[in-house]
Amino acid sequence: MTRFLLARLAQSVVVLLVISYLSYVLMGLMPGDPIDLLVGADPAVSAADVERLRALQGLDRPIHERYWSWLTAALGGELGHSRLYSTPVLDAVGAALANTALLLLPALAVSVAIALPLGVLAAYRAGTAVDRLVNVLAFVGISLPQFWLGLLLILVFAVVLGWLPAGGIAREGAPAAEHVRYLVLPAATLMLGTVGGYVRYVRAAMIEALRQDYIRSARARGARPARVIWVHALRNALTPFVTILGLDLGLLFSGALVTETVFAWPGMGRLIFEAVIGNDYNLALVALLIATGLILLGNLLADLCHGWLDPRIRAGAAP
Amino acid sequence: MSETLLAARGLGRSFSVRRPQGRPGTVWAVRDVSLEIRRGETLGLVGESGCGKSTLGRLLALLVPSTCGELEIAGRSVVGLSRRRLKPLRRCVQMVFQDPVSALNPRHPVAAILTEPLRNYGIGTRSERLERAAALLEAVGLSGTDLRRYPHELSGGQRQRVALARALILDPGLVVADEPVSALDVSIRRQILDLLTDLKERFGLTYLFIGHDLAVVRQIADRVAVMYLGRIVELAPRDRLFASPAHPYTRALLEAVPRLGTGKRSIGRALPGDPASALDPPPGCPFHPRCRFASAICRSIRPEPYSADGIHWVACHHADALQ
Repeated sequence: MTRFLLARLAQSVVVLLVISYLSYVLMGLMPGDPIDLLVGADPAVSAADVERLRALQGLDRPIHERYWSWLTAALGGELGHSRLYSTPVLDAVGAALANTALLLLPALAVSVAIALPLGVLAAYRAGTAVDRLVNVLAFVGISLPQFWLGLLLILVFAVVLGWLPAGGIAREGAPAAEHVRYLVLPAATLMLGTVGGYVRYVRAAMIEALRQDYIRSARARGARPARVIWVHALRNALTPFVTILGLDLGLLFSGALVTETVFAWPGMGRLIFEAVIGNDYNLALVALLIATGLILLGNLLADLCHGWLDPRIRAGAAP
Repeated sequence: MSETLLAARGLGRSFSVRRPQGRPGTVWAVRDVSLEIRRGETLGLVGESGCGKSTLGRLLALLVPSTCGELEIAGRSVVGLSRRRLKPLRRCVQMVFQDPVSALNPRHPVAAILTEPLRNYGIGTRSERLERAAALLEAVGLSGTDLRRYPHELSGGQRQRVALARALILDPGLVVADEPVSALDVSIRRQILDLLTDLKERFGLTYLFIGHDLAVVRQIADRVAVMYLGRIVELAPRDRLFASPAHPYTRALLEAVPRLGTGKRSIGRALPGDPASALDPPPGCPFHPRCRFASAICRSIRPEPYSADGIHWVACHHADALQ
């Protein structure tokens, strides 16, 4: 187990290094840099000033050198300042991370809580009207574009009914109920966007599990139907679902951009987007690396769950 | 030998399916099956793929409810019983399957696999259950130390032994063995068949042995039933059936078995065509479209099982003439 974790850690470090280099180079290749933005904002800056500023910021050096000095500084804990937010990079990223976690975790939790029973029900009643109804609903959920769904929810619940705020986030120190009010619509959007796929995964894996002989004969050995489904079959069906969930958890931390934009939710997706567009190198790099790290973490969590769910993967057999 | 352990009368099971054209249809996987299984015997059940042998086995093990007909286990009728009343009867019939991989839950160690049935029936304390599991493991030729292992750590033959131990742990009268050796290597097959025979004597078991391999069924069965398209077309003591098969389908099955040393293959004797679709069973005798001896009556009237001596049953209009 320790060896497995150490190996994964080493892999993760390599991945992070590669991603950091690629991100750095890609951003360096983007047209425009912070000095250009400065020039655009202030016509009084002369060409000589531009050269001087570039040299001062090290922007005239080759990109590999710049990456190396960034990396050594970053490893020394010096991540720099965000130009856009005028704070240390970690402060900006930390706030966005917390906001995304606040949005994502309840959305995924509700999504799973709905998908598991629905998927199991559809699988248990495969081929019946119940199954078809669940399937249709799942496909509707999968097919709805997030931005459209978000706007629709805003239109209905914020504009027409006026029950909930249209976007943004509660002020710091506001009562918990206020936070929840801001959370409901974006979380519902994310939930509706994921739940359909989850239902399909659970259903498919459950159908496979229910087909096994040890399931089909469990009743003869006196097992109650509920026990057969929830203990024997579901545990075997969970492995593929946990993989998807782990991946999604990592991906959505940076990939809920559309939802975060529609609802003006100051999370990681929007932070990365703004940092890249605004040539805020320091911020973009760190945010991208943290997003990468979260994807790796989600994968690792899924793998650890596999070991717990499936003795075949446990101890030594780990890939 | 003559005590009846299980009796089925007119047992049937249908499944609704959708036809290619989209109209709903009904498939009778098992239709109008009447048979008795006597305590202590091994009844072999043979037939082509899809003829309904496995469904019949699962019907008798109370794993699927019957659509119609009567079923008695140990003298008690099971049709229409509530779930609670059915539970004590379920113990009496246990199954062993063909595929040793899907037969055991990969998430559970052997100890949990073997003790769960006891736990479900509230039998014994934890340590007593483990003791019983260890004893049965030894009875099937494994050791008590295997209790801690997981199915993936066992070979196919070992898994099948665990599946047998699990089937026996509830002291069933009848074990339905659904092609228990078909998925095993030939070398392992012999061992499992010997083990089945050995266990039968030690535990006073009765077997319904489902198979498509006539050589295997011949080794182990006392009586043999032949199924075609959901119906039993012939039922006779083993030696009678193999020496003088009365149904044309049984004959065709026996002729299809390759023999060692004759040096020739029975070309031309293979059955023409595929089994008729269970969705659209032919009128009259279900076998008539493939039968060499079919006559006008076969095409219109379905032959009922008939026996001249009460031992050898056959459902064929021409059985007497053919023998």
